[in-house]
Amino acid sequence: MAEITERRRNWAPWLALLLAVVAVLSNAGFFVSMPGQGALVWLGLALAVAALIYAVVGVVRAFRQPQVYGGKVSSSILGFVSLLLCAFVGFAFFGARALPASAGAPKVGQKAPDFTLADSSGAKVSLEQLLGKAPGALVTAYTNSSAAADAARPPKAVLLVFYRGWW
Amino acid sequence: MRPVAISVDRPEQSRKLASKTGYTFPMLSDPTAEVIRRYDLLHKGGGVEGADVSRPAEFLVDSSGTVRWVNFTEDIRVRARADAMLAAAKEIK
Repeated sequence: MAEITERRRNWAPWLALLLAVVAVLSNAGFFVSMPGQGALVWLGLALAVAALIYAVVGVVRAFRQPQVYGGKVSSSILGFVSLLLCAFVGFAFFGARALPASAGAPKVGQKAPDFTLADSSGAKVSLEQLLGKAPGALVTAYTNSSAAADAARPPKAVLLVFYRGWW
Repeated sequence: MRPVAISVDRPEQSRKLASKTGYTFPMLSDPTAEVIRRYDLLHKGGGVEGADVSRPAEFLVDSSGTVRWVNFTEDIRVRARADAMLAAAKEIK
């Protein structure tokens, strides 16, 4: 009596592709200033790792058990596309985290180094002026009068936001 | 609390950004990264086309010039949140 092999659907490559696409799309979460961005970093990486595992499972099934699972070609193509998407996720992950150590940056309790830099109108502004310790017209930086009035009062604190620029 | 933004962008680039976004806080320009180096924040080749830029970092400085709160992200995709910065500023009387 001939052995009857039950054919099964090889869903693993499709699941791999779905996970890889979600991993890539999860990066959109960083642009909408949503809370939990720290966790989103690891979620994206975990999705990509899971996608790679399912891609491998899909290909191995198709080639080791061709009687049960079909789709040698489709699982290979889907696996390759998933691999590309996961490579993108990996590059984004390591690229975004390749930051300098900044061991010499001012620490809590230390004095912030003073500086003088040009504002967007080209006028020189010092940290002392920003803190309201030194006289100086900060008003030039403002186009609206309520902001200009705010600038005239010394603030309780100054928040220095260093950013990457090029936006 | 007075927010101040600092980057390697030139004043005209900052002006463009401010007019596009409506930002009214001062945006300071450090094209030679002199101050960014002084704060040990230089990210060599970290910008577009390998330009040297500042890594993202936030310092809350009180009226005596003392740093009261800092934030260094480990991932440039993860930004400082306004609620965290406002909470830190509230601590300063």
